[in-house]
Amino acid sequence: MSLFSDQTAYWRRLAGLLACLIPLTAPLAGAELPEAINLDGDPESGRQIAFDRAKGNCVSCHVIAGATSPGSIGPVLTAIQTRFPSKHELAKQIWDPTVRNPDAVMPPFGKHEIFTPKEFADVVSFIWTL
Amino acid sequence: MPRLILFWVILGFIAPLALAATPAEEQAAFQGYFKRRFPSVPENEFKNGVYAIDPVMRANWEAIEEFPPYEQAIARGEELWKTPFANGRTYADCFPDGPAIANRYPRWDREHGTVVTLSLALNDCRKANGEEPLPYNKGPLVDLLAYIAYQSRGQITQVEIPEDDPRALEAYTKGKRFYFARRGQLNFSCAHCHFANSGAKLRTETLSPALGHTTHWPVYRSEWGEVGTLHRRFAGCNEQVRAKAFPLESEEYRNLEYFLTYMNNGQELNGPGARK
Amino acid sequence: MGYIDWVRIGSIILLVATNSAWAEENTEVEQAIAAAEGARQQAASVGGEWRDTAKLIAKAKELAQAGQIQEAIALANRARRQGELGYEQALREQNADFPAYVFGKP
Repeated sequence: MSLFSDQTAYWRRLAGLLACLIPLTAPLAGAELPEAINLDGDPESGRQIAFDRAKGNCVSCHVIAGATSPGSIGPVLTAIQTRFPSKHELAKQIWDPTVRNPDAVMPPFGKHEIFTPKEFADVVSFIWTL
Repeated sequence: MPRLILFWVILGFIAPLALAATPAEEQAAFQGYFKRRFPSVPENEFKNGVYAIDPVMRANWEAIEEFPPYEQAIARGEELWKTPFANGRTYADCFPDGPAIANRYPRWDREHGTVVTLSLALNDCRKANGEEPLPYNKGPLVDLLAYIAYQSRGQITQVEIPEDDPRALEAYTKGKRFYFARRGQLNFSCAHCHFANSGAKLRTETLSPALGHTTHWPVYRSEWGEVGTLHRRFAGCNEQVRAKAFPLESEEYRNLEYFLTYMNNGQELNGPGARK
Repeated sequence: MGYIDWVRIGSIILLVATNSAWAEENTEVEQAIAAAEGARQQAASVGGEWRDTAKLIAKAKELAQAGQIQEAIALANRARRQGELGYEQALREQNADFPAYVFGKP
C-alpha cells in the first residue's frame, strides 16, 4: 500500500513541476509578477474583459478607444508602447500598481487573483495594442 | 557626546507628540481640503453631496425632490413614534426632547464605553420598555429614523469626543483607521474614491466628496427602491470593493460613523434624502 | 487454493487499492477545505475577510460531495489564498491614516 501512495505522491509532484512550466494553467499565487509568466494572450478576448463591468471594468476609470462613457479616475490608455519599455513592464503595472506607487488606486489584478492567468495574459495583450 | 544623546532622547519624546494630530486638527484639515478642492461650492452646499458639484445630476435630483420618495416613510415613522408600547409608554418617554434629536447622535456613551447611534438608542428604548428590538436593515426602524431626521432638519452636526475619556478617542481612531484602510479584493479604502477622486467620473457616476456624507440619512436610494440607513450604505460600499461587510450597527460601523460624522461637524442636517 | 480463492484475494487487493486511492484524494480535498477555512477565519479575526471567500469554500464543499475532487481542491486553494491575502492586507493597513495631501497647502 505504501508503494502505491508513494507513487501517487510522485506523480502529483511531477504534475506540480509540469504545472510550473505552464504558467497559464498555474494559479497566480504570489506577491510578485512571476518572471516566467506567459503573456501571449488574445487581445480580442482581453478587450471584452476590459470592457466588462463584472471582469476588468477598466473603462470605469480609463478612457479606452472604442469604449462608451468611460470614467476619468485613471490616465487615458493610449500610446502604451511609448509609456512602458516592454510588455512585461506593463504586466507588472497591471499585476500590482502599488509596487510602483504605494498610493495607486487601481486594484492589483494579478496579485489579488481578480483575473485568471488566461484573463491576465489576454488583458495585458489587449492594453499593449493601445 | 552625552549632550548629543540627551538631544536625541528629548527629540524622541517630542517628535511623536508633534506629529500626531488631534481630532480637531484633523477635522480642520479635512474640511479645508474639500473647500480647497471645490472652491466654487458654498460651505452649506456640501450636504447635498454629488448634487453640489454636478449640475446635470442636480437637475434630475431637484425634479425627484418635488415629489419626495421618502414621504411615506416619514408618515409611517410619525405613526410609530406616537403609538404607545404594550406598557403604555412611548418613544417620547425615552427621548423627552424628541423627535428632533438627530444631531445628538452618534454620541459617546461613557457608561457602556461605546458609540451609541440613533438606531441603537431607539432599540435600547424598545428593550427598556419590554419590546422586541427592530431589524436594522429596513422597515419600521428606518421609518422612525426618517421621521426623526425630517423633524431635525436644520440642526447642525456637532459630534463630541469627550477629552476626559480616552476610550472615546480610541473609538474615533478606530473609525479613522477603518476609513483609510484598503480592504477587499479590489484593495480600495473609502478615501480612494471620496477624497482625491471626488468629482471624478466612475463610468457615468460622479464620485461624491466625503464632506457632506453624513447629513441626509436615512436615504431613499433609487438603487434600493426604498429608504435605507448609513450603515447599509457602508455595507454596500464594502461589498463593492469585494470585502465582507460587517453587521449593521457593529462596533466597526458605529466607530466609522463616529469618525465620519465628527469630520462633518458644522454641516446642516437635511435628512431624509434622495440619492441615485 | 482453488480458482475461487484467487479471485477472492484478487478482488480484496483491488478493492483496498482503489479504496486507498479514493481515501487519499478525499483526505487531500478535506485538508484543502480545512486550510481554506482556517485562512478565512484568520483574515476575519483582523477584519480582513473578503466578500467571496466563504462562498468559494461552500462551493468547494459542494463539488467535493459531488465527487469533483480536483475542481474542489482548486477552489479551496483559491479561497485559502484569498484568506491569506486578506489577512496580510489587514495587517499592512492596520495603522492607515489621513493621506499627507490633506494637510498640504493649496
